[in-house]
Amino acid sequence: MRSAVNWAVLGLVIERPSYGYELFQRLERRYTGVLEPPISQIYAALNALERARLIEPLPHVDAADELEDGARPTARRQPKVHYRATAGGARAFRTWVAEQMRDDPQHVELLRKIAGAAAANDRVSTMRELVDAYERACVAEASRMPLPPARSGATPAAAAGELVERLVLGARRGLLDAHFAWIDYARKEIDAFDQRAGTDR
Amino acid sequence: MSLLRLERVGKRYRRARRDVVALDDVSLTVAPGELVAIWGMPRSGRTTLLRVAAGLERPDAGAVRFDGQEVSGGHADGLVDGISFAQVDMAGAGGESILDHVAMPLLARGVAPEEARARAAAQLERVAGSPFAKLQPRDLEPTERVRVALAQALVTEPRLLLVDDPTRHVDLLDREAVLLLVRSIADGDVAVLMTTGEAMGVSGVDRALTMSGGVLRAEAASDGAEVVTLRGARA
Repeated sequence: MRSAVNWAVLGLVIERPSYGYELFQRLERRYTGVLEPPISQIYAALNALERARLIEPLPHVDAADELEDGARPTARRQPKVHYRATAGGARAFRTWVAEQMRDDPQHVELLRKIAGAAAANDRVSTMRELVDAYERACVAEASRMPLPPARSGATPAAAAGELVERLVLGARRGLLDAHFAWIDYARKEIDAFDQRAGTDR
Repeated sequence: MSLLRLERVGKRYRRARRDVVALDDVSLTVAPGELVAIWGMPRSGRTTLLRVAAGLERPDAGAVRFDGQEVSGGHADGLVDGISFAQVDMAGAGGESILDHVAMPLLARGVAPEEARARAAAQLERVAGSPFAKLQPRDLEPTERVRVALAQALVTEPRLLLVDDPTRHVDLLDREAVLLLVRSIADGDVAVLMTTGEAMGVSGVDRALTMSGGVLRAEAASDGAEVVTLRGARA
């Protein structure tokens, strides 16, 4: 799933079960200037997410929408379909966020959005799981990276090519080192937070 | 069949006035000839993990098995037969020649000096360290010290080599050569369990795991196919 709108909608549904128009409004508020899809795209996203079993419709949510026995929905007021995230959807979302963070440090910004994408009493464990997922993404990438080519350079051109490859690899490794240091730091902060919360109780 | 197996190992220390959990429910296996890297910061528990695996320290909980036999721990210096712990800082090196330094584990086991030196020379050659044979430890660059330490660890022909952060003091441009040397040792059918504090240290290993707070966290195999969580978030 490549669409940023789909992921954003999934994040909002994880935050709390919701329906198309309300999601449209929340998305508008939260992502102004970043994502501004038309409402049709929200419905398309909900369809795609449901097909992928990342969300599922809730049978009844809004009492006002419940129909009398045998009554047909009036043309004026259709029952709103509320969606909630499946367990697979919540997992997929965390993995996606972790990958975004790994690929681009700017996306650490997303952390803030994730903090929103969890019920308040569940926020710390969500952050913890996110850090775990982020770490998995980082260690997988680091172990796939090759060691740089030997400094052999049969010709000046080949040697210059190797130099470029080394520097590119070095940049990626440097980023991974920074991410890893952050992961270590984040865990300590979360642990300290947990400890304080434990003492307060 | 695993060569090394740690089962739910725990270890606590007293540091300053606090109890520190160095290893928390750590389970790990290393197969013969496998190169496994533990990526962790200093104080993550990574060194304790190696020391417990080597039998240098006794775990408070769990079990360590090497080749099916329980490693009881508390071996002051004599390691378990078949396991070597590379002293990459060359701790314990004195004014002897590098050749004698490398031969020391054999001399300590009663091998005749001549044979010990011949075997030491062969290991020095394996790590491209022959030019240092007549020098003294204080003459060596950091990267050369690591090579010598590896030669000394290999001289007893172990089946498992433990290496604690081999590139920590090595100049940036010399690090990959050290890592390639470690890789070649594993390719020579000696299993290697090493720690590292940097992304480069897990490049090209068979399996990489991360460690923090005494807990093994994530694992990635070099084919990238399987990435698993060893343990989820703690309560």
